[in-house]
Amino acid sequence: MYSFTKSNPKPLFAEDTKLWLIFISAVAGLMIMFSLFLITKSYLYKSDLKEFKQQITQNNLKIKDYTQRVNFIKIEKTLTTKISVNNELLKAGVKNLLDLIPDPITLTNIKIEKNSLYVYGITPSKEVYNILLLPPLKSIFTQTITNFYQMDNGWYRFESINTLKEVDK
Amino acid sequence: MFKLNKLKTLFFKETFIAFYKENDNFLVQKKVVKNEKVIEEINNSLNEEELIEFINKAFIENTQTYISTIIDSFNQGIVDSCSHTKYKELGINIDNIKILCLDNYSIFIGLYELNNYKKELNKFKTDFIFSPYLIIDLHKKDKNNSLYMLLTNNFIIITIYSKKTPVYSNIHQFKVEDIIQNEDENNDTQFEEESIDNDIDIIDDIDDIDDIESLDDSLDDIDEIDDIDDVDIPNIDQKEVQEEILTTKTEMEIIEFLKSSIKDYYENYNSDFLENIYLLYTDKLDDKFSQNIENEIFMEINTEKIDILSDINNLALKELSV
Repeated sequence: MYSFTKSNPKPLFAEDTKLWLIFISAVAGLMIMFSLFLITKSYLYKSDLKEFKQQITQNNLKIKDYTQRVNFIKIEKTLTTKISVNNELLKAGVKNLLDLIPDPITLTNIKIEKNSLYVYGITPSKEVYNILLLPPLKSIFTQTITNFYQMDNGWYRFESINTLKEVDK
Repeated sequence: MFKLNKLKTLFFKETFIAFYKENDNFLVQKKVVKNEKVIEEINNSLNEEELIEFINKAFIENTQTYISTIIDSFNQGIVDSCSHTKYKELGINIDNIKILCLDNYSIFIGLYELNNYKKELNKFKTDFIFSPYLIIDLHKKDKNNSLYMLLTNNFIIITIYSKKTPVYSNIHQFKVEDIIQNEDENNDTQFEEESIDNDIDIIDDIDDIDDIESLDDSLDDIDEIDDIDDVDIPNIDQKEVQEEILTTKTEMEIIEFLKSSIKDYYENYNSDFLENIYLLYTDKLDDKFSQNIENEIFMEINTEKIDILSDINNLALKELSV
């Protein structure tokens, strides 16, 4: 300390400069707040965009999955329809077959496979069988093989194997 | 706080105005400093009103304006210690003084004088008042047993350093009244001469016998003219003579003060022989004068011209950086 007196307080700015500074500071403050608001908004939009992109990716995957499932279901439906048609056809065929069976012949067993029909039964004679049952079977199937086994009472037990050959597409 | 001040100087200009009164005018120096660099310096001599206006203008331009001056009060001095005990030993009542403790010595000033001076300086918005002893301290050389004399147009101060510590101080103010009185006497002579001429005109214009009394007075004045003629000074420039008388008187005053101070120092303070004498002056110094001093005290004198205003501003800068 060199002086006998102390310095008077010195404001950094004059009164009018202070007013200007307050005004400029307020404007700058508002601009900063607005820019912060914009930055936050932009950040939120970017964040939402990222989320939406993820959702789109997930949805695309789901669509792919659903498409696969739809295709599978379509295939299943086709198959079901085909099976149903086949069943209907088979049902009709069996009904027709059963309608074809003449009274003297008794069926003991029928086994139906995809392209073949196994018929077991008892016929009073081979002729009855050959006249009454064989012709309709031959008209349906491409190949018919019949085996007869004579019983004690003179009747015959028969085994008819009928196959249907698929035409190559 | 110091760091804040340092930071402030980086961004804000600081204006330093130093002034001191010399005769009727104030010598003023304005220095604008930014980041420890002087960017503007103005020296001026102003009257009181001009100085107030100058300071107000400086404050409008820059709020960071510091006004400084020195106090040449007679009641101040140096003590080679900061201890109050030392002051008591010297018979100085510490209740009536303000003490500034510096490195290894202190400067004191009478509170009454300081307060009066502060009141006087209120109109100048003065921040710092320095002792002129600090001006000498700024210019001291690194030599032992040296006497420094600072000579201004208003006062002389002497400081003696022993072992790099100021141990003796003395101040002397020039008798301004004497100078004014001498100048007045000179003016009175001129006035009398003018009044004589006027009176003679009055004589020429006499129209009324009632003016006899004034005529008598004028005649008395004519007698005075005779007296002045008897003095036999018409061919000598009165002003030059007066100035020479004054200069000689002032020089004698300075030499007498120096001699009495040296005597006082040897008798009452220290018997070590003074090895160097430095004369710091502010205005101009006649070579004959320094020779006269050398002849009187039988020692070589080292002279140095200093700029007190610049020194005051430097002290203000130092004060702010403390």
